[in-house]
Amino acid sequence: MAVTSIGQAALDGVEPSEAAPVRKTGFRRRFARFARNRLALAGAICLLVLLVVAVLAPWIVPYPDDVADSLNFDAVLQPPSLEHPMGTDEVGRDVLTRVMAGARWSLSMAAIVLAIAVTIGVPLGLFAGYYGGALEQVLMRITDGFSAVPALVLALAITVLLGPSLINAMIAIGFVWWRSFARIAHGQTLSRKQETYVTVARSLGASDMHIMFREILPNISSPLLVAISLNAGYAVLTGTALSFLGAGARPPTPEWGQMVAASRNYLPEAWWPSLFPGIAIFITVVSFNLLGDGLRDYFSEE
Amino acid sequence: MMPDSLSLPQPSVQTPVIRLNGLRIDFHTGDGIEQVIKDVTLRIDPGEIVGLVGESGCGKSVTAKLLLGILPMPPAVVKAGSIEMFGHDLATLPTGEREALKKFVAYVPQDPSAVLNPSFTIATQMIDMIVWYESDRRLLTYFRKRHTRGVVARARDHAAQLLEKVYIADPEQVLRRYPLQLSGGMRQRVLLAMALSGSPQLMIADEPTTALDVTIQKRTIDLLKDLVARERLAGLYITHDLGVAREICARTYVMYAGTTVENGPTGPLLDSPLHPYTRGLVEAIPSLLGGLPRTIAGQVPDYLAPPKGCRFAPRCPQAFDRCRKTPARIEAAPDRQVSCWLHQTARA
Amino acid sequence: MRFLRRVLNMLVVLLIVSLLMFVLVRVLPGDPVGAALGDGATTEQIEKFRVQMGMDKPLQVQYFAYLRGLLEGHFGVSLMEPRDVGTIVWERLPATLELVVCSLALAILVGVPLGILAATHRNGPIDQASRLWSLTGVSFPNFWAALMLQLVLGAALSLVPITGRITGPPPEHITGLYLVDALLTGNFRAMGDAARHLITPTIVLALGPLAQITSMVRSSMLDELSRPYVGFSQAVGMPRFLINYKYVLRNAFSSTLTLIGFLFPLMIGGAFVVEKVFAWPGLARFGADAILANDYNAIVGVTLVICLFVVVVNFVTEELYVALDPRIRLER
Repeated sequence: MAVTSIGQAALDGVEPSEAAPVRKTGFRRRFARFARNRLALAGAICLLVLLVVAVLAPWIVPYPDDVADSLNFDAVLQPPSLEHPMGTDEVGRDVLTRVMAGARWSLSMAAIVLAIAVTIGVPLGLFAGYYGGALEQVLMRITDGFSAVPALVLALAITVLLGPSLINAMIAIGFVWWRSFARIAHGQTLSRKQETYVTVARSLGASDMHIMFREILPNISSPLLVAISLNAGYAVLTGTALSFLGAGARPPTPEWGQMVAASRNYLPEAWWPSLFPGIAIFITVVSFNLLGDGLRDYFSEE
Repeated sequence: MMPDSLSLPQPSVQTPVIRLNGLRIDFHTGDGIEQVIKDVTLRIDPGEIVGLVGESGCGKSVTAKLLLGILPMPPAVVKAGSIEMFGHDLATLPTGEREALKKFVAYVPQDPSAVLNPSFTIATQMIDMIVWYESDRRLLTYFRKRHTRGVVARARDHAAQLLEKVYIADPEQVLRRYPLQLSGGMRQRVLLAMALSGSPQLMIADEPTTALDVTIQKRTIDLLKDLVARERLAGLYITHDLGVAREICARTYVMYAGTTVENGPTGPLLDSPLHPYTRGLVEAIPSLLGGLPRTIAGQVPDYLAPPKGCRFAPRCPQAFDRCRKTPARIEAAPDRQVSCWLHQTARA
Repeated sequence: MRFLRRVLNMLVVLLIVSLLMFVLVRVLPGDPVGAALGDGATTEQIEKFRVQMGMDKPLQVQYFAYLRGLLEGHFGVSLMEPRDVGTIVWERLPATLELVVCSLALAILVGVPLGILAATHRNGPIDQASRLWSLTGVSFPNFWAALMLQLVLGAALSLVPITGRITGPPPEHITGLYLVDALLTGNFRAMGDAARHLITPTIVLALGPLAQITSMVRSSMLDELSRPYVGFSQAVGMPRFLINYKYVLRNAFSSTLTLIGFLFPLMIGGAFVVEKVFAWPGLARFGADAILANDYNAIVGVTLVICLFVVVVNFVTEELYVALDPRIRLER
């Protein structure tokens, strides 16, 4: 990780190329250490399975026609059976099929939200922490402003104003979420900019941009990675909540929050079309949290 | 509740305050069994200050922690040997009575800035301690007393007196302060005063000056000497500074990798060391007469797989075949013991 | 001095939020006028409405007019019900406060002891359970947890009412908090009624915060337990109980306090969902409805009031934090 940084390499007296061959065994050992945390490993495996399901969904779901808009009025709201392990919903679609197809939307939700949030938040935090002064004051007050409005409320408002749709919900949540990364990047940069490798790089005549993105950024990547993993879960929760409230995904998109919202009118008699999408959300979020928690333990040991 | 026989350890001239005999301690960690303490044999007589010297990582602090009863077990496991304190064998003593003995042990820790609780004033911390020592180890008694105005006022006066004993000019002022508001030297004095708040017979000082400025070090050492003499304490003084050991300690034990390899009266021990490790330590002192200090090559062994036999052998310039077996501890001169094959052959 | 600067910071944050929301609702493509008048409105009607609402003027003029209105206590007229947003907020606020405060109390009353037990019995069964709980508790989608609790506690077991805030007549209005009003007027029937309605939404809203408080108390206790002063207190013979409950808890508590400042906005956000599911007549449900209906005065008004609460709660917890912890107090 620090291999990319001149300052660090100069301090260690190690040429970047020299460090390369040891990496492989290093990786294996690191993975073994990470894997000692059983829960974290379980989280990682769950996410991997979800990813595979999300990618292969069109081919592996039991009833491919039921992914979107099919109507089977002769099989409405059937309880779980061998034929339909999670039952059927209010228009007779197989719930298992739709839950599997929904993995796509939740994982894309996490990916897009985090991509937007990290792209906005991390540079802002770096600038604020590195330059300090008036720039820092202005940027951090804006961050405070964003943090003072509950994420869900701001995201909900922006989504509705943009026009309710799943992609707008993703954009809105991403636009709200940057503040977390700005704060982390800011705090980390403040503590890192005093360190020797930064001073060394500066004395070697490196530009501010180089110092921020090539020296400091790689060194704050571990806390950022932990934050990304932990925030992914919250982003999924917020996304499904927006869809549940009717601001995100629209029927017939098989999005988990939207599925719960559509089926809640058939409670308490038909509990299955509400129960299973919720469990899917729960498992996804728990997996992200387990992974994030494991990463945090792993990095703090390091 | 503490039986009366224990309320005061009988300070008879014969009974040593501390006697450790052939102590062996393993640590069961995630990576395996670390054989940290191999053979510690050590005696402290009443009124005597004994030094324990050696490099960092030799097990000095483990020994101190064991005596203070704060060595976490597990992971630590006592495998062999005996620990006697004030004539009581700690292995057979019930936990409550072992805890009760702590009142008679004054502890002076390494880093004065870290061991005082940052959230409470000096007064609160000292009064807590004094009232607890008066409460026969019963929480209810403690809480009743701690909320009785008369008791607290008395404890506060007692605390002020203790601070005066360590030459703090304005005790009331210091009592009102939080630890952060005091200088390092002042905090160390407060700790010395706290150490006296029981009715100590023994002082255990774990490198009490390493964290201090050089100028304050000297004053703290003088104060320590003065206190030990006035209060007639016995003491175990752990240090890696041989100069300080020479100044304070009547006798000194040299410890290497979990073994007390040599001991004797401090002056002769340092002037004519018998064990190659002791010689190495002495030669590592920078001298005013010129010449660079010579360091001992190598480092303290990995306790997961320590060398068989004499643990110093891999670093010893005089090692030979027999060092692959553990040497016995022999009386090399009056009151002077050493564990080294060199001296056993000399006698044989 | 520091106090003044912090109050000033608070005002700046509020100003930023008002500007942010004000600009957002007007610049983003959402169409408040269309939403207010319905699809059948003629161009003439729309134009008249825009002039009436001052929307024909430049943005900065509108903003300063809005701020001036705020100073006089006017939040603008809601489009959903033709009254001033301030009046509606004032009516709706107690219901949300009652819910959020109860949830926070539940989270603290259960989370703090659980965290302490986990830390003092490290790696024991309580610790394992609490660690698992702190990872799973934050992972429930609250709308789903609400539906499932309604299903089990309400529909299947009939223990609690499924939705609403009270079934019978509400207690005489004093504070607007039903529990408090019922207590003050001695109306115990209404009190029991209100309490039964509170149970499920309170649990749902407390799930995440409870898990976070547990894990924060646990980790900061463990942090404190590893400090040298703990070892020292043990070495001089102080009892475990005293060390844990007097010294360590006090130091660990301050980090929990800052967590509460952080949890508060999260819980308000949660209330937007929970109040919708439970048909709870609070501010958050009004806010959610307002957003979904493009009621722009209501959106800005509700957000500002929520923001004011968030900022004040943060201010109070931080001041308490400073007051409680001499480490910070003395450094200033």
